[in-house]
Amino acid sequence: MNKKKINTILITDARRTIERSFSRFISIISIVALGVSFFAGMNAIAPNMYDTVSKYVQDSNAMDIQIISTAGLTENDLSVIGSVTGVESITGEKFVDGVVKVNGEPVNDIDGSEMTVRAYSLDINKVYAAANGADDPYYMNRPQLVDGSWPTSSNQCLVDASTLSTPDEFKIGSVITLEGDGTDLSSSLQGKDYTIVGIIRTPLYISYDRGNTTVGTGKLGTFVYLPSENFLSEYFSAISIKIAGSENYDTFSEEYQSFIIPYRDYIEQISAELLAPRIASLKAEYTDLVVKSEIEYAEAKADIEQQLANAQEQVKQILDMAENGDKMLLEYKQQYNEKAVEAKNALDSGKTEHSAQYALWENKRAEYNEAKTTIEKYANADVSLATAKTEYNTAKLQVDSMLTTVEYLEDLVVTTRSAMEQFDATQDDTVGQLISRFEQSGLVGQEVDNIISSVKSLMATGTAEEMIAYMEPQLQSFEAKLSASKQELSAARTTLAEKKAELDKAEELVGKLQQAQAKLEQAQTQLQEAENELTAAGYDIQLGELEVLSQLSDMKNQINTFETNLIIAKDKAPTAEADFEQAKAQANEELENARNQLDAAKDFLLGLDNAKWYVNDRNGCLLGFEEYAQTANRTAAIAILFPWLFFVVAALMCLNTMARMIEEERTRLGTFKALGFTDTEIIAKYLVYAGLASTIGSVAGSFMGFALFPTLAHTAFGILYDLPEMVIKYRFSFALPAIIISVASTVGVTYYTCYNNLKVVPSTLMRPKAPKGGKRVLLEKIPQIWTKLNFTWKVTFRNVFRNLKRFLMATGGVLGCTALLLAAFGLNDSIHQIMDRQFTDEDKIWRYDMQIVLNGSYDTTVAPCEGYEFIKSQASIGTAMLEYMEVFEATNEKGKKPMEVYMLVPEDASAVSSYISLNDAKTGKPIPINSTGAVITDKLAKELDISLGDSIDIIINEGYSVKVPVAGIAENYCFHYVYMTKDLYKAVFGINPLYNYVSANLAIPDMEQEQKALLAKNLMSEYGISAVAFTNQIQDSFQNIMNSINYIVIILIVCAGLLAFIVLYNLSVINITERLREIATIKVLGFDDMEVSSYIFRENVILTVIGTLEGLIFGVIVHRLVLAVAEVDIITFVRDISFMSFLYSVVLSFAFSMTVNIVLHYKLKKIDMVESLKSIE
Amino acid sequence: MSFIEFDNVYRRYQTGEIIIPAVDGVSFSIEKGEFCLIVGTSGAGKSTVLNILGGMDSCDDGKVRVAGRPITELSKSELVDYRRHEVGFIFQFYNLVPNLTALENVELATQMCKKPVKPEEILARVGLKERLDNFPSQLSGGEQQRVSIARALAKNPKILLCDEPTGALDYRTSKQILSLLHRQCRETGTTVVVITHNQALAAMADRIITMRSGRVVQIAVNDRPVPVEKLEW
Repeated sequence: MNKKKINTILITDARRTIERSFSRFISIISIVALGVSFFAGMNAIAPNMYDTVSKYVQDSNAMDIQIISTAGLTENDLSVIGSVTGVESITGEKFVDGVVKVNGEPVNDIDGSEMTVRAYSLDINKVYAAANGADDPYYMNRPQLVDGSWPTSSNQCLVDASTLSTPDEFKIGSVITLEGDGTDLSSSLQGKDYTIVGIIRTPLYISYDRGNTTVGTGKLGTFVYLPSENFLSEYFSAISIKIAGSENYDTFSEEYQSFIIPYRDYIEQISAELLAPRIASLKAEYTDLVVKSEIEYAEAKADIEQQLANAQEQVKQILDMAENGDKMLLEYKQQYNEKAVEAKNALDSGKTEHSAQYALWENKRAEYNEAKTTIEKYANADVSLATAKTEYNTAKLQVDSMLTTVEYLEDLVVTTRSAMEQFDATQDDTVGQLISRFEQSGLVGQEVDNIISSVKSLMATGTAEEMIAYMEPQLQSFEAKLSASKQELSAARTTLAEKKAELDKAEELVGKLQQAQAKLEQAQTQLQEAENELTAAGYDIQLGELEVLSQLSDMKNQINTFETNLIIAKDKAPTAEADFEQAKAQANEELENARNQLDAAKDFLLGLDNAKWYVNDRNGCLLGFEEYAQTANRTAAIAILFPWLFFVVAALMCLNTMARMIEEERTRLGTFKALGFTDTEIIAKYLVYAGLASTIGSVAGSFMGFALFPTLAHTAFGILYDLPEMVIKYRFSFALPAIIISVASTVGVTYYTCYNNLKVVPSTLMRPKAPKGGKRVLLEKIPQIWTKLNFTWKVTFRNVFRNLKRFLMATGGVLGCTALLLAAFGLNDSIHQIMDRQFTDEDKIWRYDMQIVLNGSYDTTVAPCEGYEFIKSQASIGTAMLEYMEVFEATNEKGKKPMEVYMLVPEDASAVSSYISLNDAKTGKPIPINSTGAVITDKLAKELDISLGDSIDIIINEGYSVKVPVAGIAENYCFHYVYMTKDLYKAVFGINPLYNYVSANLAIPDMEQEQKALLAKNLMSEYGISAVAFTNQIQDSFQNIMNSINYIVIILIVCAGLLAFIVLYNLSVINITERLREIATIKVLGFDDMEVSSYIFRENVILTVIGTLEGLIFGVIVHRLVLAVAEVDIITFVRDISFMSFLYSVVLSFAFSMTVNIVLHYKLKKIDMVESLKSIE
Repeated sequence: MSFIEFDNVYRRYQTGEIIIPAVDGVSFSIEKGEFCLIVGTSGAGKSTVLNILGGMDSCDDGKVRVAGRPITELSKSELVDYRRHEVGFIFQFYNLVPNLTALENVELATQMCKKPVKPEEILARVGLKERLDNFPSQLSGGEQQRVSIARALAKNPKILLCDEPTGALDYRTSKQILSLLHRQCRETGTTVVVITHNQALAAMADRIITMRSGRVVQIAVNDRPVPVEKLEW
């Protein structure tokens, strides 16, 4: 027989075997691939982590040594250090620390404090040169652009890529404003506002930790890069140094450390020489500056204070007006009305008087009129009198003339008689006498004249008797005449008497008239008087009215003016205070700014004595570099343990599959043997088969693993570390053992199984193997249960426990699956429970609704804190607590690596429980904070190895720390805290706490977002409040970070599913093939498809149940391991896994198992009874 | 109409391009309560005939009726039902479930049919009263086959199909088994169809169907069957 020929036949047989059982071949490949990929991949994580950072450091030309000086570094320092032998390149770096606003709005750090920022100088020319391929050794710590573009103008900036430290508001296109801590940065930076154009990472910050700063709480929030022309300072903040030849060492190696340390120490050594002259010159410069500034400050302060006082007075007035104006207006109006009434009354009384006056006047006028009438009545009296007088006079004249006549006639008569008598007696003379007599009688008249003439003629001619005779008629005529005249006279006299009566009457009348006239005159005078008085009264009234009206009008005008003022005041009032406060704030801010700058200068001056150079190697200057190495180490530790589960399961599966295959081909083995092939020749085929499958599987698996797991880990760690793409490398050192173990074990078992089979004689081999003996299981010893089971369950139990190998593999697979699921869900729980415990639970730790950062620090023993009072005065604020918070480093007595802690000193220790739940980490009982000691948080206690009664060392300055006794250890999940009372603080630190924070609870806890924004705006407008952070905002930021872990959970779930599926499927398939006859038999017996399937599935269910239960236990362990790797300093993961996660893990494990069952169901359905039962004919 | 009727039944297997007619136009009938023997050499198609009759295999052409029911036209689930309630199978290699005891193997069948015989009873009948709790591996070949018969009988089937029931047994045991089957046939009126290549058994059967190359070559009816104990081979 030609040996070569046999071989070719065997090879053909082997090829056909593979072809015919391709699915088995593939399943071996996939199982091996899974195991090896897990094994190799997990082990590659840590080395890849190291490589990634090594490459990053190399690519970005990261410094080997960094110098930071509190006194700043000069060109001279640069040139001196640059000339040190071994220094390849040296660059001065500038940076400025401050706080940042985005689009004008303040930004909060994740802890709720103001977002602090470090602005680094970036030489854009160097950036572009490097982008064009130049490798300038002086361009160190090169940032890498993650998104956006490099700045093209000086008002553009680049921001931090870290998801943890960078605020959400930092988006490309947003404008950030940089300010100092209570100062502006105008002395350090040219600009103020910068537009974000790119997002970068820098080797300066390997991890999320941004280190410390002198501003804000002391913890640096984030960084930005600004084009270098913005930096005004002449000196450098830091110097980066690259040592020649350092690139030849792996940065994580011991060799690198021992290479660098001498340089570091040497630079430290020479620093004193360089520092001394610098300090001297700075001292001189700053002493002058401080003195000058202090004077300027005092002037400015006085001026501003005066202005403010005036403004405040005004505001007071406005407010007073606004508040009391209405009342006053009312008063004024009332006064006006009163006045108007009064005026009206006065006017009315005037009018009454006037009308009295008028009545009087009327009276007088009546009187006057009456007098007038009376006069009128006597109006003709004058005329009558005159007439009467005339008539009287006439009558009198008549009387007189009558009288005369009478007298004349009497005389005449007498004379004539006498003359006649005489005549009688004496005649001659008598005529003369007679004439004389007549003449003497004075009688004048014709008669006389006639008598005389007649007498005379008679006398002349006549004789006495003639005369007497003449005379006698004469006398008689005379006598007649006399009597007539006497009669006439009497008549005249009567007439006269009449006339006299008339005259008297007339005269009486005239008297009366005169009387009346006098009366009239009097009446007129009186009337005049009355009239005068009336007019006067009228004038008074008018004048009075006018006066009143003008007074009222004046008042009205005043009221109107007042009203207008009131409206203005009211209009201004709501904002007046705010406006003033704003003005005040602004003024104070300016003042504060000046003060702070001055203080900073003073501090700087004072600090110059302690000025020092900090010379750091990469462990110190690339933040997170050391932690990263530690994380990689921890990962490596777990990577050694964890993949074994997969690996062992995979190897076992492989063995089982191969063993099964050989079992199946028993008869063929026998036939070959019978045909005369040697054992080796027969075995060779199976060895080739197994070897080929396991080699393909393990090589493919190693490739897969190297690509998948490190990337996965890198992405997961990406939350903590800001790094470029992971360096993926095929690592023979890890792959080779895995491949060798896989191939060797598979091939080895194949050989062993074949060998065992070939030991027997061919004829035995050619007969089917005797049925395996049924085995009683433990459960049968408990008849109470066993007898109650129906036969299918019985057979299931027997089957499950009969094949121990299969049992272990299947349960192992499910165990792995469940454990992974539980670890995944548990991780999710741990992370989200942080949120719950810290933020949302009923007894959450952070109970306060908001945290307010005060604009400065206040010693309340000196004066009450205005900002705090203002906060408390807000209606929407329920309660508030003043507190002092600052970041310190703390260590234990033994000087363990210091940890960053928040020291919190509440003003009122008894109020703390409303804001923060301090519960004992172990018992959960509330811990009061009192003066016996500080309460510290649990992780801090754990990390620093501090237990109750120990003390914690708070580092105040380098080399100077204070000891605080620890009286309580409280449950906490985010950050580390040291709580103490103000008395304890004072006792320990020697000063009163300077309160700078306020924690507050809202009056209505579920306040609308808009209202919150309004409240925040309102608070921020108050001088003395610089930032407001609502707990739910902080919660959201945390949530975002936590959410990124979710997909790791998903990946783990997929892995788990894959594991469960591959293992269960393969085992089930083997199980089915082994029991083909049995299955065909029950089919023949009349089992329907479902019955047949469940006959098999029961076993899977039991295996799944057992595997799952074990997996839950194992999962808890895996969960702990994962947490140990993933845990960050500032966060304490909750170790508890929720019931739901257990449930989910169980349900999902079952779901995977059921999926396998469903697939198998179709496989079972296809089993052909006839074919399967065909006896070996 | 006969109890079992095969009417021109064909069954072809295709391997590549070659079509092998395993059953090539088979027609026969068996009366109720008969003890029928199908004899023929290896590959004569007798197992295929039995499988078709038992509802385990289908035919490509022709009709098979059992008690007037055309089983070749039954749906899959009806076939399951048919196997479950009407047919009892006995195999050459017993096909007992190794993880079940003798009693449990019988229960496997009784658990799912309508009017089962009590498993203990039927096992006593096949003479395994003492071996109820033994696993198949603890039983001899004959005993295993008797469990197998018990399992088939426990369902109270109308037809008992036996594929080389004694093929793996020694002479003495074979006789016992055949006697058991014969008795069952006679006592309960169960129709028993036995496949064998042993022509010597013809004397004990009521009907002997001889097959060769997928065809029926002879159908003989034996009016005077001899008890198996009296046969020698």
